[in-house]
Amino acid sequence: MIPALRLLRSDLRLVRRDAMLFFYLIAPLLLISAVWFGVPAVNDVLISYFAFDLSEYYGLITGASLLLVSLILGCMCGFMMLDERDEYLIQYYAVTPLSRRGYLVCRLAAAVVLSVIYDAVLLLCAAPAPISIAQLFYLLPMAALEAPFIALFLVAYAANKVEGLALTKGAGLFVAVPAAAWFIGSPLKYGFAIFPAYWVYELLKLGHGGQPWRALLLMLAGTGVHMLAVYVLLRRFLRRQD
Amino acid sequence: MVEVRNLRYKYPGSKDQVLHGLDFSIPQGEIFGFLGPSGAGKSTAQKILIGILKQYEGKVTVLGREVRETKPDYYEKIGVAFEFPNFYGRFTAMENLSLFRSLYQGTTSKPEELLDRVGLAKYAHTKVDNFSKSMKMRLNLCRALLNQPEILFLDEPTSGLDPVNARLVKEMIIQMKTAGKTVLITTHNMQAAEDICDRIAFIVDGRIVLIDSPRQLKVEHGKRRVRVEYRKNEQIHQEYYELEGLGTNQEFVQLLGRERIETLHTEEATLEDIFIKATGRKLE
Repeated sequence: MIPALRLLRSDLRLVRRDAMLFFYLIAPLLLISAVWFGVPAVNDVLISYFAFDLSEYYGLITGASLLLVSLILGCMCGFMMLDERDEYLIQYYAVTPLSRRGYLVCRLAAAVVLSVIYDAVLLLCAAPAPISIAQLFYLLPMAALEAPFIALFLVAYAANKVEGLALTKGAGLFVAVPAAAWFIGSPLKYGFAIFPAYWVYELLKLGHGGQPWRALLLMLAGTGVHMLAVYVLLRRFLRRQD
Repeated sequence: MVEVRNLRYKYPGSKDQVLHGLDFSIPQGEIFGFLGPSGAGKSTAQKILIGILKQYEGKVTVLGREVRETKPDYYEKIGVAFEFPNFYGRFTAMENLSLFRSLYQGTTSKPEELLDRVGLAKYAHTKVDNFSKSMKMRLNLCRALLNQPEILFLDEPTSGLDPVNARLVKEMIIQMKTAGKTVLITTHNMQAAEDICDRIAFIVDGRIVLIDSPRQLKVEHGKRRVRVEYRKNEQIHQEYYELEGLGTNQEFVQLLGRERIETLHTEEATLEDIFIKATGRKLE
């Protein structure tokens, strides 16, 4: 793993020199700040002027914020990989001791680690509704896998960085569409279960009130769906490389 | 150093065989050239040798190891330069080389020394985005040499180089051979192949149609005669004489004494002539 760590060190230099990548790196911090300070303030205003209590939707807001953080980091990782594919750098890494597998692990692991850090900060500090430790551990694996899922979606379906930029809109739908399940009852809402993000919303909708087994099942199912999605996209990406 | 027996390959999902049973071997310290038109299969053969394509049939051993079974440590021993130089444009030449150098665990060369050898020392801290094609190609060679490889795979190493830098690169490749390294070059550049290769293989439609030293091929496929050009009454004249008994050919000897000779050449074939004769196709 030493070569992989060295690649990560150069990634930091690359991100510093690329304005778009740098923005992607700090954007989650802006989002976390907005959720932390903005949501309670907006809620106060809505209650005062419209008698509308936003706190009923804090779970939805937390889920969307969590997934947006992963989406941003997934896009950052995806764009780096698209750049490296456009420049035939992935082809070159494949003939170094890092190998193509090592390269992929390095890129996807970076997305996972960054997601875990940012998502943990979001859940522990900025989430508008309090999050229990159990919820934190249930949500993090899914939220962390969302970033490599998005990154792989971009590199598996985009032929180059320009197409990748267009596909980010599609990637946004992966986060936005399953949010609709929040407002839909059973059994219709299960139609959204093929979206990995659906399970994050479901777990937050459940809250932390006394259904530990159901929460555990949701986490296992959600993590499974995420892993399956990552696997399918990974295979597609690897086929493209040949 | 390299042993290839009955190598066959077709790309996944394709019905067409790209390589149809290649056989060749490359001993240590040899510069071996793969020549052929685009799509002939030479790049595929090279990709198999460097371990990118592993679903091949036949036997391919490099440094005594079957390539399909190699692990990433294989890349500690080989150096690769692809035809299209691939670098991080936002990094300087030195940063790029340092990054790739850091991926190796064995002994490596100092990037500044390599840059100096290819005339890029003063551009060490210039971003690669600002490099010309020629500079990128030389940087590409530096990177392939970083890990002091036992065997070097070069794809079109002189492409995009001016004559001075092409010569520099060819000299570096010959120095590698002198140091006991093995070099495999893939190219359509007949002149480069002729200048530096100990042996060449013509590959067409996935088959090796000729394999020998450039000199041997040129002699075997040439005409055994000399062409004499001389100037007389402001006109250029040509005469041909068989090589057999040339020293005692009175007509030839008298011509040399009588006329103002401008050129005198044996008529060995060019590699391009041989290629066209052997395949009925031209190199593109």
